[in-house]
Amino acid sequence: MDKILKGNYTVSDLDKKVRTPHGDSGSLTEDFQVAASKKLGGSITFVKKPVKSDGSGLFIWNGE
Amino acid sequence: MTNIGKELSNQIAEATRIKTSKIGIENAEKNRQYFRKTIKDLPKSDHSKSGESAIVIVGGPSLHRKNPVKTIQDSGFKGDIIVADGALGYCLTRGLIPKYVVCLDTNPKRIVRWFGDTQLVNVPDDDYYRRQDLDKDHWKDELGYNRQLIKLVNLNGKKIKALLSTSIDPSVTRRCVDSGMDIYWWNPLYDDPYEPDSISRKLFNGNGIPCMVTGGNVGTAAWILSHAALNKKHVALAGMDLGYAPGTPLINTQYYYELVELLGDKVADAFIQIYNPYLNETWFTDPTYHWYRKVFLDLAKDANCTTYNCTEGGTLFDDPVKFIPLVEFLTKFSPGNR
Repeated sequence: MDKILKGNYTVSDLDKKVRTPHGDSGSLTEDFQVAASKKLGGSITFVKKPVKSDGSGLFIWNGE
Repeated sequence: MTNIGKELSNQIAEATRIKTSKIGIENAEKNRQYFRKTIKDLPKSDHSKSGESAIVIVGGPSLHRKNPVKTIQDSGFKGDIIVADGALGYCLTRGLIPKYVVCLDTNPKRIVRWFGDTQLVNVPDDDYYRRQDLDKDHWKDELGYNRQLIKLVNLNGKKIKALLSTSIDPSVTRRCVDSGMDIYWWNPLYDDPYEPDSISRKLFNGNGIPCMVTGGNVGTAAWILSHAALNKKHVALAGMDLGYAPGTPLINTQYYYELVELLGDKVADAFIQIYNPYLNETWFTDPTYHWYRKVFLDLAKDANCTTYNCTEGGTLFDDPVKFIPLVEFLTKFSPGNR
């Protein structure tokens, strides 16, 4: 299992790590974004409602 | 609000896609043998005041801090109780048997624990439950609580309808089946079904099960089911904090380890302070829950129901959600007040 999911950490070791998330541009660096994408996140993606051709939105889509 | 917290929050949608889409699709295939009914088969609510009202109970820290279960029991509320999986044990141990339980997450080890894991022999290395601001009276003895949950779920399963996402791990499905729960399936929407090469449309074409917006987490999914599938017009939320109480140690927050991995000794910069004017308290949240909050408030604008956040804690307030005490909702929608 992925170590992240298992949650089997030693906090004292983790605290030794120091990241510098911002590059010279002031925004999050690409490497950091990739790392963040792997570690954070919810249960399931796609949170917007799909919008039909008539402009109305759906919470539940039944294949129409 | 810190810049890092906000920027991370903006990335959560993509993070979730990377983490869960593939395994969710694989689980849908593994769960196929259990597909009998879908959420289209659910009974619609009647038009009485109690028939149109529901309470969605989620497992946030205010669940054990405020104990809404006792308040609900004392009120004689007759509307439907819909719980997210993480709140099931809290309700059952206090004698509240929900009508519905909702499950979404793909995790192969953690989610089954909410139902009592029959395969759990030793206390696992994973401190997910011990570490967080949950019901400590129970989680301090994980094995004892697990045994209690197995008994309670087995005893009450036949009274509960399980609204299960096809993405869940089959171990969770088997617990619901073995305990006698009446199962209704739905697919989570992984993408826009009107887009070319949509994963969701392919999934629907393969199993014929309706696809539903999730909002990214099981609590929001339970709320969406309450109004979009069960047609409830007045929906209260309890235990829906989407954040952490003032003074909560950072190590007790859900994504602490992941944030330390990312930020090291700058981990505190990832947390976002939110002043709640209804409580006159400043709660805080992490990038993930901050994203959930934004998504919920956006979805609530289009929901065909009135949403009352009766958590009495947390960060989920703002138009159109009505932030009111639980007692006020119960006074309005309990039988003696028709």
